[in-house]
Amino acid sequence: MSIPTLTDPAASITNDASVVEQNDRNIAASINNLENTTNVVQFKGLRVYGGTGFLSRTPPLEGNYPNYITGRTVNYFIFWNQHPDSSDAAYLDMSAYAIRGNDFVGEQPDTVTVTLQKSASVAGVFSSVGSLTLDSADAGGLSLVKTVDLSGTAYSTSTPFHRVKVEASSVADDGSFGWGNSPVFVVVNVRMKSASA
Amino acid sequence: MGNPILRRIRNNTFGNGPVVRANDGALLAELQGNAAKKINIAQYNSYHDITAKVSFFASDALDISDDAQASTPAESGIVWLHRVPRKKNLVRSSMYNLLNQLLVPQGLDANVRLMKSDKFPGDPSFDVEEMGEEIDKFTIDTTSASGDTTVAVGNGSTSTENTLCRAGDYLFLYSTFSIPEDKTKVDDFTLLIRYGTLSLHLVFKEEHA
Repeated sequence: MSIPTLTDPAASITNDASVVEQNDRNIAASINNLENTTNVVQFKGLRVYGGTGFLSRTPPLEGNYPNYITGRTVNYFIFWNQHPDSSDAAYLDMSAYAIRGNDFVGEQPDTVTVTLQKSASVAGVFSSVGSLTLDSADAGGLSLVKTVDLSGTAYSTSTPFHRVKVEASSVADDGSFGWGNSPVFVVVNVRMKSASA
Repeated sequence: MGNPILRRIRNNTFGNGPVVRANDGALLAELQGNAAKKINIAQYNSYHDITAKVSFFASDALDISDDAQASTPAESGIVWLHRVPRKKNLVRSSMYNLLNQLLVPQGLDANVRLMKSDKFPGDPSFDVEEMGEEIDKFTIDTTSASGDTTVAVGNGSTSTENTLCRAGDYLFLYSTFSIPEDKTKVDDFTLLIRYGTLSLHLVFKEEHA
């Protein structure tokens, strides 16, 4: 709503008393068009982008194509374009955890790094918004849920494309076997805030 | 909210305190819990998102072992489907290749289409136009390079839409992996990786409930 014009009626009967009435009418007119950013204190809703997937060695392929059998150390889980009218969007946080396919005897990477990235175009250069690292040395190992606060990062509509990159510490791709034999499942959630439309 | 009933206070009269207070009370009474969307609130729509991770092209039927097979029809199918629960507008769509390398043979026509239909697309045909309205298309370009085509991460498609979806409509991804008629030799097709993984993201706009 527009901000109503309120006039001081002053403290004297010599002043126009109808000013008081007009003030109320101005208020009544204004509150018939409430707006997000002007009149509502908490006007942003949460949006959650969730992704799941697993990191593992690319399965063997039929035929002889050894060049294409490499250790899978990088994967992308989520991709999105910003909402329309998202000039007032805001980052909130990102959380993640991972678990071994065989949680007791399976191999696992030392670390799994999860990074939220942004870019000005779909095929453009993505830069980091924030990241977290799951560490097998932690109590709870990779399955310890970690959250990184992104609320201090300003949102820019000039970089509307986002993706989540998940990168595990290295695995041999020369035929020897590391954690690539035991897939590691990863869950990522990114939370953002944006206004109604 | 309704219009508050405000009593008239004329100029050059004594300021009647109870009347002033009653007017303010009328304003307050209408404000409390009566603000209605569309009437009092300018932005009465919310956005919500659907994110999916979709595999496509997962068929052995394209293992072409002789020239005769090379002329057989290609594979297609519904790889993702969403039935719209209530009226809403699709305002954004994004498709994005998630694999580091997606290798498809030169010459194949490979597409993933985002489509809408009011009928269940349970019997996919190759005639895309009969299946519904095409909203967006992710095309894997296999014509420019010689030999196999590598589609790196970063390949994707985004579109800005204003597509009305009614309750009961179907939104679905339809993948086609078709063989051009002029490609009939086994050597035209060396299938290395027969699947892709796509991130699908849809943004909808609907009224506050």
